[in-house]
Amino acid sequence: MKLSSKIFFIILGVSIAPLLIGGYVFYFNIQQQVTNIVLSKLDAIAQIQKNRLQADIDDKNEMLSLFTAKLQLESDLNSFNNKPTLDLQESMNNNMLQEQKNIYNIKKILLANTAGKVVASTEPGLMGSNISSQVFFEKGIKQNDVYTILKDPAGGTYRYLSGPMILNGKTIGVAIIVTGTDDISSLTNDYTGLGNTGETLLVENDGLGNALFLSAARFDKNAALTRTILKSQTNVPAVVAITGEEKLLTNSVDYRGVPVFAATRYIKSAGWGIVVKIDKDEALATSEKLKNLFLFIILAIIFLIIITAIPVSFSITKPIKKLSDLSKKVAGGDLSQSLLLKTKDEIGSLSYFLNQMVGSLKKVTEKYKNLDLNLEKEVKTATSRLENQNIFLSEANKAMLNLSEDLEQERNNLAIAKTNNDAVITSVGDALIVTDANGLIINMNPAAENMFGLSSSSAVGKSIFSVSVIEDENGEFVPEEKRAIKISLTKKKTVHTNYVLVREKKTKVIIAVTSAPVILNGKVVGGVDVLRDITTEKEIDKAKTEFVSLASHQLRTPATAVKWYSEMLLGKKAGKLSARQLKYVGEIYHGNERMIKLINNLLSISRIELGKISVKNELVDVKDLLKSIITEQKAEILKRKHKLTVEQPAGELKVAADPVLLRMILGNFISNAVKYTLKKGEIICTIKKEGSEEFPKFIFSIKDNGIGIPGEDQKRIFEKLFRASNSLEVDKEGNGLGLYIAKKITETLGGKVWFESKLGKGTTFYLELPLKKDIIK
Amino acid sequence: MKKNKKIVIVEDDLALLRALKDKFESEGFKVLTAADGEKGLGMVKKEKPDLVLIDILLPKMDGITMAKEINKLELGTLMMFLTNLSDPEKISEAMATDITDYLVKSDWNIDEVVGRVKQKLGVK
Repeated sequence: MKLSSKIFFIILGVSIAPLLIGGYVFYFNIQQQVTNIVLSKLDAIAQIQKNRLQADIDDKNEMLSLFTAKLQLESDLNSFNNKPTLDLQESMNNNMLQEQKNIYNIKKILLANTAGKVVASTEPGLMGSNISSQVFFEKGIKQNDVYTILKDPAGGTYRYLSGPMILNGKTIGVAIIVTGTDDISSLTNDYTGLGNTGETLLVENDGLGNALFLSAARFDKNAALTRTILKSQTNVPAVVAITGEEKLLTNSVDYRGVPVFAATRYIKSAGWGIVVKIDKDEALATSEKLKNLFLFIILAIIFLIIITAIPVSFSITKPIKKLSDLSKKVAGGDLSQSLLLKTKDEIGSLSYFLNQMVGSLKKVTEKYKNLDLNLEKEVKTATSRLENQNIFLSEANKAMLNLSEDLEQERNNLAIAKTNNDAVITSVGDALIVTDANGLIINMNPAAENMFGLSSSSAVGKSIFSVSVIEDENGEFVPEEKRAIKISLTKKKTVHTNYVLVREKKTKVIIAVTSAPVILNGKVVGGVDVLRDITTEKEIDKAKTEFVSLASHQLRTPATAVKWYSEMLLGKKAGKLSARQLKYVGEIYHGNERMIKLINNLLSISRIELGKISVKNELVDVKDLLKSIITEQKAEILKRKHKLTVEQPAGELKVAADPVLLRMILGNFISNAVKYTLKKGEIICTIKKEGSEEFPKFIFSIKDNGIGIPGEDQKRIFEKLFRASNSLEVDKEGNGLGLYIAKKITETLGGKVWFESKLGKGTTFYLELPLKKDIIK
Repeated sequence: MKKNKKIVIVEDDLALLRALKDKFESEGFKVLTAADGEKGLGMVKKEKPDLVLIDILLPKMDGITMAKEINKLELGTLMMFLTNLSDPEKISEAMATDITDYLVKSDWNIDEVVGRVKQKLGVK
């Protein structure tokens, strides 16, 4: 949109919008305002009319009071009542005629006695007539009355003022003054301020609740005492007025049925209602006129604004357009142009500076023309330099191309490697799950899908902790923080462990898990879980161990029989055996003992391997224990003539340990020392206390100077059923289980065993046990 | 004095039972034998022996249950387990009957068994 149009619409918007809003509000308020003005005007007129009528009533009352108080007339009437004479009658007539002359607009005056017989009159024809049944007589004999208006037989209306003549507190007659109704009609015919349709109406209650007109109406000259509005027409103001209500009416119609605004008044003493009203059409004609005028003014203003906005917008934009045209030309390279706008505003200075700028540009351009020639030379030199560089660059480019080929090759290699990796992962027999650092699954191979009973597509993106439930070997739920993958991710180390994986439908699989973190730049970025189903292996292992255990028990019973019977034979109570027989039975006994020992070892191993080894710690006196073990083997030590010494700290040495297990370990070490040392050997048993104050430990050592363990056998010496090559010659009865059991038990106790040995020189076995806190010195 | 001591041996392996009976009788004990737990218990009720040697694995009623039943009789009968079971669990279960003597048969010479019984009964 052009700038001029923009400015035009802005001016239009800014000036017309408030005008329209204000106009709208005003337009719709005019009628209400006019109505209010009319109503308040009617109200004011009604009040004025009421006051005028009240004043007239007061006048009439005063006139009547003055008349009935005339002393001469009273005296004459009284005398006439007592004794009627013509003189008296004439005196009264003259008196009244005089009165009629003095007061304006009196039609006639009558004087009647209390019986209603006219005794004096300004009109001789009425003398002697009876007026006792007339309304004005009935009212007048009681009290002054100025409200009676009656039709005159000759046409028009008369107003009857009547009041009692009272002498010495006694009513002696009634005076009646008959006047015209000019006073009232001059009031109701006054249309001042009421336009062409407004008027004042005077009505009274006709005794039935209907409103009877007392004066002529503007549109019905004969309304007085002839027109009546029925009381049922409550929307006619006249009916409202005679109920005594003084109010403003906006929804009413007058006696013609025309909608009017009206105000009502009520004069209580007279029972007269006053209605001041005006036709709605006339009242609102003003507002319609105002409305039209207002509409015209608004349109005129809008028209004016449009007319002024066009040149204003053009006057603002014209110089800007000129400036813009100049700028275009200058930008196009035409520097011959100039423009001077002789305005003193910002646009004037803008044009001034633009001209200056064009001037400066001209100068600069001239300079550059001169420079151009020099430049040309320099450009040539630079170009040749550039060409040289170009050659160099193309060389470099070639090198880059080679490099990029190499990179492409590398990328291919990588892709191949990745394909290989994927193939390996997919085809590997063990389940493999790759997660990110938070344990969300990134990838899993078919073996893992099988193991977990999940599809790779549904598992990827989920937490490994949410898709698998893990129990330990005792069926206890393993929480997230104790799972291998969690530990490996948080501790940055590889974790091996066995679990029970609970799959859907509660089927369980025993799995061996290796969880390893993937570490990049020292940060854990993910983890790899390798899982193997070892259920079958475990079951076979367990069955095997249980079998051994059961078999061992069963073997013990016959072994016991052999033991006891051969013992009884040796005990000679069953009869004397020959020396040879004794020897044979002794062999039987001895062989059986070996078998029992073997059975006991097998039982121990099966318990260890079943995980059924239980530790029962009690406070053990270590010195006593060692002594008791040595005593057990005393026969053998003596037989081989070994020298056995014990080195131990003074005082009591007590430790929280399982005495049975400790005895098994130390017993094995000592019996080995005794067995694998030839005659007259030297065996030293030592107990030492070591370690820090906080973590104290015991170290037991059993040193011998026996046959030693050959170097090549040392590694395997703790293996199950393994026997060192040189041990067989010395002791054919060994079974290769003792050290294996000792090591296993030590591990259960949280200690460790090791040895030092030299072939032919001797062996030292060590046992290190953590000293429990509750040791007593 | 020895001859007055009466013992009951409950053992289902007849070879071992005979060996024990011979041995104890030769040592001057009055020996009664039973091959299952129920018989053993009946015999204890009837004979009120000074001491009962009880195997653990027995037909009809196992040795531990039998020992508990004997305890309920409140006869003050002394008891010893003589068995080939050596599982720590079994031992603790047996110990729970307040019988502290738990001998593994294959580890004991028959002489030693007799010695232990004599010690228990306070006879030389």
